[in-house]
Amino acid sequence: MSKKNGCDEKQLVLFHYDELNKEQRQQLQAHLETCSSCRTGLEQLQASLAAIPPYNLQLNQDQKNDFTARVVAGTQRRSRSTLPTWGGALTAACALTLAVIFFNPAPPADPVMLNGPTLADLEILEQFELLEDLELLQDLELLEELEDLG
Amino acid sequence: MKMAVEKALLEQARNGHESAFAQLVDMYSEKTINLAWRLIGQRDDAEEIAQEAFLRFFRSLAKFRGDSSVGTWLYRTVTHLAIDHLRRERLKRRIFFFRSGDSEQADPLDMAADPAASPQELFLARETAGRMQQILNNLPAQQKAVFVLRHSEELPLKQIADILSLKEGTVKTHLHRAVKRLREEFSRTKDDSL
Repeated sequence: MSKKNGCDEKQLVLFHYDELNKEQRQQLQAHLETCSSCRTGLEQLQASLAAIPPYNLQLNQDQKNDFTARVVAGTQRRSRSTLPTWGGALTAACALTLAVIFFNPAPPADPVMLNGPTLADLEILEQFELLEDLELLQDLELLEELEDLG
Repeated sequence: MKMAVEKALLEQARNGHESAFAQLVDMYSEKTINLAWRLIGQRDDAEEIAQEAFLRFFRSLAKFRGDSSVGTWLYRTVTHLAIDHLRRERLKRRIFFFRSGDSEQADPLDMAADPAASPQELFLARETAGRMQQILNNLPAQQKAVFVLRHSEELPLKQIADILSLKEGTVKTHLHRAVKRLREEFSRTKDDSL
């Protein structure tokens, strides 16, 4: 279905969802009376959307109470003073620094004999960090959409 | 009436009344969890996202001016959190070949089954619904969000544009692309079953 001869699939979608203004709706209805291709397209569109299972989760009161309790508990955890958290973090950082200074091992002669993380593991760690970069994730999605458009 | 109750609870919650905040959570928990579930498809993750949205709301109580309703604020936050989650999961699947989905969680295909249908009808309906669900799951996150918000939540496109901070034209395009993919898959499924 192309945009020639007034056929516009996007308009059919908007018509189905009642998102056209009065004038656009009337124009499309007039077009549908004369265009069997668009009438078929609309029927197929509506049939395909009807095939999507409805998602409707119903929570009973116990489940709602349980969820509310978890949320409230979460607010209390976050409300507690952050000083112990910062203090703990500082202590850990100091301990780590001291450990590196005093226990800094000599580099092994043969890198193959490394028992620590392999290069593959380190690469995976870097890739995990990519998952935190929301801008990167958004850009990747945009690239995929452009790819789909060809 | 509901708005007046919400306003009163909001004021009490701002003044530190825990029970008022708990009542607000209770008012919106089902809708919020439902929205998250419709967007990401995993019940446990959906509850976590809904929980996070409420916690963020709690933290911003003092600044919440009431320009939009609590529901709209939560919808916006849940949608953004869900989109971030979907993008991460998608990338994880590509990098690490993760299989998403926990077979023990509630299956919307089971919930939608028509008890009066014959076994063959049930099988075909389930097959079609499964494929449509697969297409939905594979949509880009923002496209899926627009589709779910329009189709399942029945929000007008103007409101969806506001929630996602997009132009209305962009939202219309996302909706069209999502529906186009679903229609193509549906046609393919029908042809395969003949």
